[in-house]
This record gives sequence, C-alpha cells and structure tokens, in this order.
Amino acid sequence: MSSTLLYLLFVLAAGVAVWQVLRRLSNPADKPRVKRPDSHPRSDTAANLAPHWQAADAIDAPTPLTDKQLHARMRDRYIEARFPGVAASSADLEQTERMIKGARHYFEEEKYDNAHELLEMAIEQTPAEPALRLAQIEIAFLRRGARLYTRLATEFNRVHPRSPAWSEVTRLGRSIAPEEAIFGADVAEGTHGRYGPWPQMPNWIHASWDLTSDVLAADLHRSLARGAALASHASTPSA
Amino acid sequence: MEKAIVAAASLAVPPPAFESTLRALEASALRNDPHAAIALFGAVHLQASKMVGAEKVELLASALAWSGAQAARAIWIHDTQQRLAVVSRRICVSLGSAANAQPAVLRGALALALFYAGEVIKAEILAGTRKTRDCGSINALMRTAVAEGQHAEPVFLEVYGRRVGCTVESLHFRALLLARFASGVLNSRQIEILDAWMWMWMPRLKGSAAAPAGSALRVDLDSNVGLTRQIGSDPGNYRFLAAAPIEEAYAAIVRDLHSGRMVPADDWTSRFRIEEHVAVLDLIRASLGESARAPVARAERRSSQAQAEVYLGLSEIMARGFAPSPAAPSSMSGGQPLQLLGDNNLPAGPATASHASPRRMVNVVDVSDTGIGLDGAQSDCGNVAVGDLIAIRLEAPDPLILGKVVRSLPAATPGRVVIGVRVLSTTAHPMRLEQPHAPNPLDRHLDLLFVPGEDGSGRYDACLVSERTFDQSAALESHSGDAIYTLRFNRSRERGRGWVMAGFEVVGSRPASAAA
Repeated sequence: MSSTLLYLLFVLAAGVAVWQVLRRLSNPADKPRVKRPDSHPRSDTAANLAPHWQAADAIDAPTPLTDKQLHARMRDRYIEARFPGVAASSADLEQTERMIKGARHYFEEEKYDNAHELLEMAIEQTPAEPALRLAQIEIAFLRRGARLYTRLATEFNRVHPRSPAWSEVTRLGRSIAPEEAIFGADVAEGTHGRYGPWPQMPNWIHASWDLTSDVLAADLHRSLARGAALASHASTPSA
Repeated sequence: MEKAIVAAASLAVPPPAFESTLRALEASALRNDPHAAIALFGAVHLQASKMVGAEKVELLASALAWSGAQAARAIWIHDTQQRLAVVSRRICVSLGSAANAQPAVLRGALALALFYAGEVIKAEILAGTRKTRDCGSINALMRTAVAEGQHAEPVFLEVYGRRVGCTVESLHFRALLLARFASGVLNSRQIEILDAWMWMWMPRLKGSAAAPAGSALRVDLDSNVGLTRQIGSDPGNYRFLAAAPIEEAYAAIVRDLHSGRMVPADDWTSRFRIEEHVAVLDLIRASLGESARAPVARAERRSSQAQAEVYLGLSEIMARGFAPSPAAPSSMSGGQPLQLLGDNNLPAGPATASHASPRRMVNVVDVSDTGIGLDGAQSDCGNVAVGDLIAIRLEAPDPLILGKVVRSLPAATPGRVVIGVRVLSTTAHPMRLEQPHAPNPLDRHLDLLFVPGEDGSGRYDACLVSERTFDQSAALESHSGDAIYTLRFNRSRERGRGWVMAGFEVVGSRPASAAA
C-alpha cells in the first residue's frame, strides 16, 4: 500500500474524529450511543434519535440450580473427564451399543478398570438393559476374575431372573468358579447356537467377526510403512 | 522470574504478631523447655493453620500463572511449615528424654510433628522447591510413639479450621503416603485433593506389626525409607498398611462421583476442576493395582552425559522436530547465547528473528527402553508439566523420540528441573489426512503425526492430534499408495494436555484412480 494512500486514510480518520467531537460539543443532548441499564433511563431525545437502541434489560440473576441439577451436571463432568472420547454425559451412557464398544476398546487396550467402570455407569443409567451386564460379565470372565464374575453373575440373576442368557453365564461360571453353588452342576454341552469370532465365548462384548476393517488397517499400515521407508531413503544422502 | 521472587520475598513481611510468637516458640524449643514450647505451640498452630489455609485457597483458586508476590507467599508458606516442623520435632525429642512427660502431651506433640512433616511435603510442591526426602525423621517419631504406646490413641487436631480425629499412626501413614506421591507426579491442587481424602480415611490408616492377608504397604521404622510394597519376609521393625481398607474408601469416593457429589463436599478442594480429581483417582487406582500384582522389574536405566534438544507440544514437534534438516544441537557451555531459529529450523535472519523461539536444550540423565530422565534449566523447562507431549532427539541421525511427561519436579540443584518421560514411540512421522466434508476449506488438510504400532497388523496404529481434532470425530481420508482409505478415530490410547494419541478404525477404501 503506497505511503500516499496511507496518509490520505489517516487524514480521513482524523477528520471523522474531529467532526464527532465537534458534533458532541455543539449538541450536549446527543449522548453517546451506549447501552444504559434501567437505573439510568435515556432521555426522550436520545431515544428518538436512536429508536433501535433500547434500554438494556435488567440482567436476570441466574436461577440457582437445585441439588439434583447440580449433581446431574457434576456427573456429566465426571463422565466427560473419565471417559474422554467415549462418553461425554449421562445421555451418552444410554447408547448401549456404543458403550459396549467403548468398553471393548478399553479391554483390548488393557484398561480394565475403565472398561468395568464405563459399563457400571451405563448400567446405573439403564439398569434394565441386560446387554450391558452381560458385557461386564464377559470381560470379568476374560480377565479370569472369579470373585468379580460371581458377584456380577449373582446380580444379573437377581435383576434378570428369567434371562435366556443365564445358561451361558452358568456355563462360564462353572469353568471359572466351579465351587460356587449358584452356577449349578456340570452338564453336557453342545456348541450349536454359539457363534462369533470365538465359538466358545458368547460374544456379549460384540466383537466384530467381520475382519474387513482389520484387513484394511493392515493394508494401510504396510502402505504407510513403505512410504516412510521411501521418504527416509530419499532424505539419506547417497554415499 | 527468580530474581523477582527473591526481591518480593524480602518484602513479603508476615504479620508481626505471628512472627514474634513463632520466634518465641523457636527460642523455647532451643532452650530445651518443651512445656513452655507446647504452651505456645497451640496458639501458633491455630494462627498458622488459619493464615496458611487462607493463602492456599487464594493461590490455588486461579489457574493463571502466579505473580512475583504470589510466588513469594508460596515460599513463605513453605518456610513457615518448615520452621514449625523443625520446632515440633525438637519438642518431641525434648519430651521424649524428659522424665515427667505426660503421655497425652507427648502424644499431642508427636501428632503435631507428623502433621507438619506432611505439610512440608505439600508446601515443597507449592513453592516449587525440593529437599532431599528424609523419611528417617518421620519414622523416628513413629518409633517413639510405638515405644511409648501412644501410636494408636485418639488425638484431635485443628486442621484449617476443622477439628479432625486421628492417631499418631494415621498421621505417620499420611506423611509417608504424601511423600510417596510427591515425586513430581501430582501438582499442588492434586496433592491437596489427595490430602483431603486422606483426612477422610484417617480411621482406615491403621497399621499392624504383622503382615495382613492380601496386598499391603510396609515401612521399616528403623530405616530412612518410606512406604514400600510388601515383598518377602526379610527382618525389620515393620508397620504394615493393608490395601483393602484403602480400596474400600477409594470405591466409596468413586460411587459419590458417579452420583455427581464432590468429595469431600464441604472442602475447599471441591472447587477444583473435576479433571484434577480424576487425575488423583487414576494415580490411586494405578497404585492399588500395582500393589495387587506381582512386582515387575523396572527397565534397566543407562546413565548418560549427553545433551539433547527437546520440543514441547504437538505444534512445536511438528514444526521443528520433523523439519527437513534439523541443525545439530549447540553446546550451552561457556555462557553462549541461545541460537535463534526460524520456522524452517534455519538460523533466523533479521526479518524472522522476532518470530523465532529459542532452542530448548537439556541434559539427558538416563535412558531406558521405556523412558528417559532429563535435567533442564528452570528458564527452559519450568513450564513443562505432567501430561505434556515432548520429543527428544538424542543424536542427529537418530529418530525423534516421542514421549509423555510423567514427572516434573525441581532438581536438587537450584534453578534446574528434573523431567521424567515415558516413551510413546520412536517411529512416528508426519502424515497428511484429508477431511473431504470439512465445512471450512481451510480445514480440508489435516497434518498430524502417525504413530505406527509395533506389529504389522495396523491394529495398534494411532494418530497424534489435538483434542479439538479428536473431538470432531470426522471421517478422514488417507491417500496412500494407490488407494484412499477412510478412517475414523474411535479411541484414545493416550492423552495429555491438549493432545490425544487416537486409535482409529479403517471403515473403507477405494482406488485412488476412481477419485481422480
């Protein structure tokens, strides 16, 4: 931008400022256009000059939260801080499939406490949903936590006494905690009706048996590794 | 900053009445007149508790960096707690050797001495100082209490305006637990949260002379060492702290947080951000889990004398750490001025000098397969905090080492900081993804760091991105080779201040030629 143009712009701005000052000095009733609270009502003249400027409404004091609202908000904040990227609020916990998937991811990364607590909170949110409890039970089994498994299974049976999944729960229970009476005596088993990536497991954690994503991930890994190797070779000075 | 703190400290005059009473107390203790000292101590303790409590509330209320005056007040808190700790120990020694010491008086003195031992540990974190941890003196106080049969009798202490029931033993365990966790992992707010919970756990901090069933921590009262895991049955003058009561107390706190109730509800620490509370929960959870597992041998640490340049934060790492030809690290000896670099990592010319940032050089203390220990100047590394993303190049041709800061605390040498880093990857490299559906054209390209997993399956690959990028959960495309892969972040493998190491799933692919 040329210096002449800059100079002209400066002169113009200065002229506008001087004009504003002179205008105010010559007309004291023309008050500056600022919002005023109700305690300082604007003059009729000012209101007529600027009808679109309304006196600012009194700011309403925020309604204090009830204890229940406060606790709900704090619970949401805890969920967001505790399960970042998985759940941000109690409402998210109601998405059963998403919570089971999140718990499975935690389990796969050996973050077992996170997996258990996520399902625990989801169960608190929707206690009638059996899928969440079954996922929790399966993770306890995979961790070979006999005491936890028994506790969770007992609670499951109390809440869902006629669940068709109980036979599977007791089957796994007999293998991990054979001394517990709640799991009954050993019975001959068939494998029919059991499916999923691990036929001996009920797959309540909804592990996918579609390996397409895994194959693509391996492809991408190879491709990126090739690209990185090529880039490294190109940046290495030749002998 | 340091000069400002020293100058401000000389101007920060504590209330004259308190200072004169404290000096009278110190004089009584020096004269070996424990009963006169005890008589004064009560009043000083109440006054100190009130003043220090008020100061801490104000200092820790704001997340903003402290002014020189605030830093001076933190130092005053540390110095005052230190003086009270020394005086109380002296009183205990005098009472212990006195023939007519009343048990209740001795018990009260021991309780105060152990209380202030814990307060000094917290104050060191607050003031950013570091002294050699002396658990020997803490254990000696407990040894005296056990010998006199006063370790398990009830004591009532005024703690920041509240009357708390405890025992000498519970105060001993409190001091040792604070020492255990005050190794640069927790910040000032987090250590206060932990302390607030430990005051709730006072009835559970009960020791035993015999090893309990289940996992436990133990302390040898004849040693200078604090709490350690209970391993083996070697002889010693042990007190054991069972883990089970702590686990139950921890579970109760988690249940309260599930209900949206801060714990303790009426404590000043309940005003801290929930993330601070979660960080302390994670630490306790990890410690409880560790004590329940078989011990794992620490990776061998190899000492190092090297110097290295470090880059802090995702932006700096990408802009400078992975710049095409990083310049060789310059030596910091002989008071040479820092070499300013421009954005392209070449020496800054006059036009770019004002935008260049100085290099951050550190001493490498030790290296292992899983971590690196660093030592840096306060001026360079004073703002490095636990959770920061850091990258280190040990030698010019070696790849950049990406890590997460897991420990940061003042070094024994004044003006230096010790940083512990857990290695995340040595094979990360820059990568560009496309966001085809980004509403803002400027966001169409996303430059990030690709962190390949250790195996070839791709299951453990991750991308280092900002928290904002991760939260957007957008579908992203990688143009690699002759295909375009569509991927979506679906988990957080690691995270820290402002960054996430995001796992992803590849949801589809198509030939690159189809897009052309």
